[in-house]
Amino acid sequence: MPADTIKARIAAANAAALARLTASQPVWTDVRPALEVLPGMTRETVLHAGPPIAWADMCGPQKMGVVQAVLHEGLAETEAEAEARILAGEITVAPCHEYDATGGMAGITSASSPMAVVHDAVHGVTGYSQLFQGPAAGLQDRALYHAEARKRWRWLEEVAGPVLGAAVRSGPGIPVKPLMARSLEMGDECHNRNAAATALLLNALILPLCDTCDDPDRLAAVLRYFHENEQVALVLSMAAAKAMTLAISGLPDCSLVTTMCRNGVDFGIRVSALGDRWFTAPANRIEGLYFSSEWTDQDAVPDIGDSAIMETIGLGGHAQAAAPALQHFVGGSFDRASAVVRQMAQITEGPIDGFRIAPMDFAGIPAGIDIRKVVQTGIAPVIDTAIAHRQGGVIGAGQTTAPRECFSGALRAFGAALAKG
Amino acid sequence: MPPENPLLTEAPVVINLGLDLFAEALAQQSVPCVQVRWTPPPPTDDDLLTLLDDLL
Repeated sequence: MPADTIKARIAAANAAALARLTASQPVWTDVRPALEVLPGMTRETVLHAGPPIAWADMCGPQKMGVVQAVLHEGLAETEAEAEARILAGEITVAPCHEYDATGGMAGITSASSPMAVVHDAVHGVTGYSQLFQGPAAGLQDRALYHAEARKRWRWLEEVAGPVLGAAVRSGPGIPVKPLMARSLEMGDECHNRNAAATALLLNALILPLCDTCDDPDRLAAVLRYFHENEQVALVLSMAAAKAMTLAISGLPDCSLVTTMCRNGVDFGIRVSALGDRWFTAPANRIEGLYFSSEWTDQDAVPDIGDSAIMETIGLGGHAQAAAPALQHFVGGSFDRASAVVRQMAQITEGPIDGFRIAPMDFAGIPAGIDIRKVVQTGIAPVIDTAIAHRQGGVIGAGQTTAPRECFSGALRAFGAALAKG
Repeated sequence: MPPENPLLTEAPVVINLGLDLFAEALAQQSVPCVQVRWTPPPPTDDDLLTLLDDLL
């Protein structure tokens, strides 16, 4: 096939994908246990953030998290028994992304985990995310961390999930895209900073919560959850972003990235035309600030979590000039942030209507990462992200980049797939 | 007598490409400097260059 024809086909497919991102209308409709809603989920399945990885090869927090999830679900009595069952293959360990879900940081998701359900009726797709679990910083005592983490899981399952689910179900649902777009104009970049989005989300929920929750203690506990965690809205944005990227997955000839995620060891991407194939490379370290001087680079695991789904749709690090305050974490400036946004525009398809970066004269967000442009320019996607401790918990925040090797590997496969026709 | 070289008689106008370190050193000495984010193009093998010719 002549090169010009191939180029025209790719251009048309990528433009169509961008139009689908713009047309999508993800709406938060429910909160349900993972077992009830995730396609293919079983009682013996534990999901994790990032691309596929064997349990034995995982970084510390993720490896421990899988074991704790097995115990939490009653699939083993002791850590030793849980590890034996995992190694024997009796527990399915798989990426959240392969179940249409996303998980922040280690991303540990098991059958009972309450999942935010975000549905896009325009394209008939649904994205899911676990609820925000809290930073748990300062709990690097292993046993204490496990106890606190599992206590938190239980509370999310028994209180937050049912209370939020009832509130959301009582109305037509909460459209997430307008919430993200407005928070972008209020100083969030929708990844490391979600203060505005969380306030907007609580504002949307407060009356439905009061209408549907008769127990004042449970209502107060859920309100306290919002009060104490400025990042609560991130998980809704992630589920919405997952739905948006599902709407552009599997499009023939499309060279745009549909998944970017990390497991603390590897960084992985998937590309629209290449379906479910993963392209991985070692995850980069994160440049940023620790929340306390007691922590150093030696305490941190490399890049981890599915939250890079936000950069995949052009937010987070790609839109960082919307949140100048975050530059403090990387010793930067507004000039530096806007330079990064302009740089990201060189490797992306274009803006999504409705998302504007106000301090940059309402510039559009750079959305739709094109693997061809990444390889051609050598410019890697920039990702805002939190930093995880080797023994669990969030201890800092900063920025990192996607490894270029993922994109060159994907481009070779993309070329081979097109050559086959 | 040759004309004066403005570089020697006027404050320099500095544009730094790439490494922030040099721009920061000038900033610490109160020398205005425009920093341009730039990195050398990555090494790319011939196969990828050919692919890019065909696909982009």
